[in-house]
Amino acid sequence: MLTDCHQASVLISQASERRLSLTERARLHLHLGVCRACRNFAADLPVLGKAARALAAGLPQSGAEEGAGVEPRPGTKG
Amino acid sequence: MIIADGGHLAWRINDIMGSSREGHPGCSTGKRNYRANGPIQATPAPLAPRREGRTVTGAGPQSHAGTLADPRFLAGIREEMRRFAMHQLRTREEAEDAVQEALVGALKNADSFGGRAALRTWIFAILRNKLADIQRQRQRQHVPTAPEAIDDTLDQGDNPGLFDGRGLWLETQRPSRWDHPEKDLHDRQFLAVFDHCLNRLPPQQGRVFMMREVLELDTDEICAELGLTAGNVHVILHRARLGLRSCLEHNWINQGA
Ligand SMILES: [Zn+2]
Repeated sequence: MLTDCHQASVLISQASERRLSLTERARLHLHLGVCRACRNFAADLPVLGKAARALAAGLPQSGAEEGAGVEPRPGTKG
Repeated sequence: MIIADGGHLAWRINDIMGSSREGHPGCSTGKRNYRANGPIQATPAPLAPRREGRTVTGAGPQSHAGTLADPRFLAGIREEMRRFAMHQLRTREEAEDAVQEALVGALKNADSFGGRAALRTWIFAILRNKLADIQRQRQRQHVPTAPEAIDDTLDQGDNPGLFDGRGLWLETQRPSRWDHPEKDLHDRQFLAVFDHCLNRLPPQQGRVFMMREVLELDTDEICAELGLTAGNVHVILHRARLGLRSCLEHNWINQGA
């Protein structure tokens, strides 16, 4: 049974929530081998969570409250 | 119950939380049953506190200017929430209640959101979620809905709309290569775009995504908090991730390409 991109994206997302079964991992692996788009989706998925945490840690405001309650992020360069 | 000012916020909230605490069914595995059946109210679940259970207090180790312990910020955001809720509910009282409940819900985890923008996004995700609950409940009771009811209450359709009939990425949705995602995490502009994308998610998706990724709750904890099944939570997270990726794709990754 072939895995399409939609199914692959489901597995990619669920892999952060639970342990995939052996079959699921095999199907995903096969699909990723032939699909660049899903590889990109998989590669970037952890970044979404990191972005949410970075945002939560503090988006610098242009206004007066700059730095309020904000933990400095390591390695902040352009 | 009115939360009037920042000064007494901490104990007022503890008070409220203590008094309205009620048991939760936990994760069922049934497929249906999107929402818990009971009355939809502020239902602060016995969530394990992440950061040593410290709610927002004025005397915390960090400065809380720009957070809910700052009376000015709180007053401002309350007013904004009230206006937002008034558009969707019929009476001022109803709106006031929704705002109140959303604030109480948001406060439980407010200390996980150091940044003002993120805190605001979090609070509004909860408020929008609450309003959607009220609309849903109304529809169930066949009470005529206010004219400008929000339309994203049923955002859990089967096809996320990013794939074609064969389940392949639509041309316009295909994830392209993102060159320096790690570097972008330190980019203020990127985080602003990301914030915008989070705000554009259907309310429940935004809320669940933040519970998962910012509060770092696991599926069971989210289930218990929101009265969803594990399957629901996985579907919602999948939708949220697709939505965020797509929004970033169009507003950041592929910008100028
Ligand atoms: Zn694919």
